[in-house]
Amino acid sequence: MTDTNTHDNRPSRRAILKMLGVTGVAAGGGYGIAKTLLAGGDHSPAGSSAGPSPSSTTTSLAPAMSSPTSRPAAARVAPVSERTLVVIELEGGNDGLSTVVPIGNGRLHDLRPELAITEDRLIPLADGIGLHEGLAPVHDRGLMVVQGIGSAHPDGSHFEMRARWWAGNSDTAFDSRTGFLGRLCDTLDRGAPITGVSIGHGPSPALESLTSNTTGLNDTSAAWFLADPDPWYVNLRSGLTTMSAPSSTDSEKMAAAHKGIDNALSFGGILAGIDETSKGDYPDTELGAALRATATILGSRTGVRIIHVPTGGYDTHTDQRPQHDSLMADLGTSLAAFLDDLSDRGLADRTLVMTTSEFGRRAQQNGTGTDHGTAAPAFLCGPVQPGVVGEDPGIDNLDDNGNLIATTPLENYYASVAQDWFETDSARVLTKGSQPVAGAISF
Amino acid sequence: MKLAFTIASSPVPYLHGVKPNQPDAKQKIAHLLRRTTFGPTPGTVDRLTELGPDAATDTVLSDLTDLAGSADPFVPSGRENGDDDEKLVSWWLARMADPNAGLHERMTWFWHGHFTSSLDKTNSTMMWAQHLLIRRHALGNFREMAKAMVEDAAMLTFLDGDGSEGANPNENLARELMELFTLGRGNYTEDDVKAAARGLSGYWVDWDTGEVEFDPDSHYDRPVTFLGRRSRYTATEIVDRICDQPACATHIARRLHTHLVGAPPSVAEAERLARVFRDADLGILPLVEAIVRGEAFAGSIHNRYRTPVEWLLAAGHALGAPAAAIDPWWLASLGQIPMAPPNVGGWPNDGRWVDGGQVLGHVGVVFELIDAGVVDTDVDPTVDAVLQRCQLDAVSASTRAAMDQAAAAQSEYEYRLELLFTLALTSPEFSLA
Repeated sequence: MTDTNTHDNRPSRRAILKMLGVTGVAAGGGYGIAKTLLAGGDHSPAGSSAGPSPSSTTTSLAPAMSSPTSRPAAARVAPVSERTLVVIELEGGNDGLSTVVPIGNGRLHDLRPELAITEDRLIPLADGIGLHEGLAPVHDRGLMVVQGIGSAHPDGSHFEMRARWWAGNSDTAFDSRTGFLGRLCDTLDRGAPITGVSIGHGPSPALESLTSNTTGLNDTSAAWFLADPDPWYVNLRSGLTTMSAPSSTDSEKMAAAHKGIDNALSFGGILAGIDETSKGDYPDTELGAALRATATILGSRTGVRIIHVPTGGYDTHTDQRPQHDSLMADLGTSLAAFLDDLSDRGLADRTLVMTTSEFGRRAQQNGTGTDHGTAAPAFLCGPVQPGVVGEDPGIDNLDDNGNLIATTPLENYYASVAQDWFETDSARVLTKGSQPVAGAISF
Repeated sequence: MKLAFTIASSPVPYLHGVKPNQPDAKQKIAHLLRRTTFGPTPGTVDRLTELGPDAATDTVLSDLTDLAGSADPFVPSGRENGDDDEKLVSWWLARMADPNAGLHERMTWFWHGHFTSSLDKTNSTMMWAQHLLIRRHALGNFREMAKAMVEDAAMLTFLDGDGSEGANPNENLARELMELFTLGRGNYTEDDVKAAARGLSGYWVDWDTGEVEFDPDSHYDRPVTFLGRRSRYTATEIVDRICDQPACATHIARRLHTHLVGAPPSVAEAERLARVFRDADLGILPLVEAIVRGEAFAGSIHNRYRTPVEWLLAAGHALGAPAAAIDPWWLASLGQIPMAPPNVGGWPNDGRWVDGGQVLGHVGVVFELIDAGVVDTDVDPTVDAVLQRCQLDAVSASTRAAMDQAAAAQSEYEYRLELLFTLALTSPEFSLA
């Protein structure tokens, strides 16, 4: 080897495997139980063996339940221009009735003799309702529940309802070329290389935008070569830059491919500012890894305003109780670690977290699980007042299919974030008449 | 081999009027191979161009070999660990990466993305059995494949048909069977979902052996109204009723057209294809042929996103990697692991496969392939030689300029070859198929 232009510092195979260990399942996760496919031979659902087990979470919860919430971060909130949003999408349809639970409700126990959660396992939230104990760590850090979110014309299909949530339209996703989060990015764009990013499952239609740059990553560590000073990599980057130039004769797909290369190069700008010193106490799960990456990107302060984090496993047709407990434990511990990490990075005053899910689940149990449902609660956390808002659909008032009837169109939930968090007129990003949910976001 | 079917005798725009050895012919044959195989492998385009374009298409459509017969079968270890999962995925990847992989292998891949099940909720024993089922029917009869699927252990487990009892049947399999696998949205009602769930009830899967048992006592045996007809239904009769709907042929024709062409068919084209499919009693090969010989196919060169599996296998062929060198781990970083679809809808073919994150993934995997030492160093480190190995006959001015510039900047022979391959394999042209 006489050439000095070596590129021996490409990542070793071991480094790559480590990288995949974090992301391998992110790619494979779906409506099923996320498990560590191809990674270390672990056949258990993520969050049960890899992460905190439901039982250990349970035992550690007792003191948390008895200590009332104090709100360390809500006192201060950053100016609008500094605010960011993290959207956690619970893929598959999260069971609202096991997340925000009517306490001592006879009807619930009639419909769900095996699945209804009893009062002793709930965190008191408001009059007559309790929170799944797995979410205790988030409750401790301040949680705002929004009840009864859904559509007036619900559909039983994952694909249809996910598309409507992505589009930000509770009636139809037909012909929507942009996503709500993408449109929001358009209004927040200040010329950053990337304004919105989806982490874990690649790009999401939710971030489809008109003018701002948004993208998706399977893995945040894949961009290392963009910052490498070795001449071989400089030549590669220079080649990619030339190659990214579009042509007027490009087909739609060729144009997308050119844009993709341009987008990839933009990560270089983000990489330069990344601070990897703060590690946070995240569980070793897919969601934990994605939220760690999220905090790192927000910490880089390179202009990313919205980060979308999909997480799978919520389509609990069977074995719902242990699966859902495990999912809630993973969500609770991952999110608590994330909020603490934000505090350490000085970002707690500017980051709002919201959850979404395509639908809730049928009120009546079916065997050991539940079928697709309709309305469900979601929650917000960050520098906002905790509480419960929105009208409870009520388990005594089901529709013809035995489903909860939505009281809050999903557009209104989104409008709260647009209008009350980003001070963006909701008419710019949502259908006419969308109104913030009263009280959902206050400081 | 002579084709056993006769649709070829209909007016065929594709490849007609193209003489052998014209650049145009080479480009069209490369296109044909990108869509109907996991190639082209080096040398194949030239070989088929010698035959002439019509004979090339005939050759591709008549090579129906199931490569499973040429390899030792996968044998689950019986231990519940991830090693079996990885072994099974590797087994399949080695078949796909085989230079002899043809239409049968490609259609096996298509059907896996259609009749989805995942290791994520089943196990390697069940997925292996389902894989063999798909291979058996990949170019056979759709109705027979669908009937086998509703009694398949992996499918029953993945979509919760396992243990679904007539009194309170699970709706998951019933809904996805109609929404995704057979009819498409709008061609059934919520009541049909409930009725189908009853008809599909009564199956139990043994997790360890993958055996499926039908228990008449847990099957719903009273009459239900399903798709407008009142009757007692078995699972087989549910599938028969579904396949009798005209919408079924149309839906499958649309799905396969979208896979092979890269875009859904026009309404008229969907109807033409559905007619071919119905006239063939839902025989799959005649549908494939009607699509491949259609105008839309011919006009779609480099206008379909290459999904990670397709991209990786093509990159492996370009570099000269032996089939065994293809590592399933690389696919994890690209977001597509065979036997682990992201959800019951399978993998979409959309802009995600050329997005910024995917470009970074492509670069990372090319680095891995280079590190694995698979690059064929007999290839000249020139732009033309590398483009030819990557089967890119015509590239855009910007891709050409990028490679010329890199060739000039990187003086050292071997590193220049690696740099040129990295650029060619991450180019927009190579990311589209």
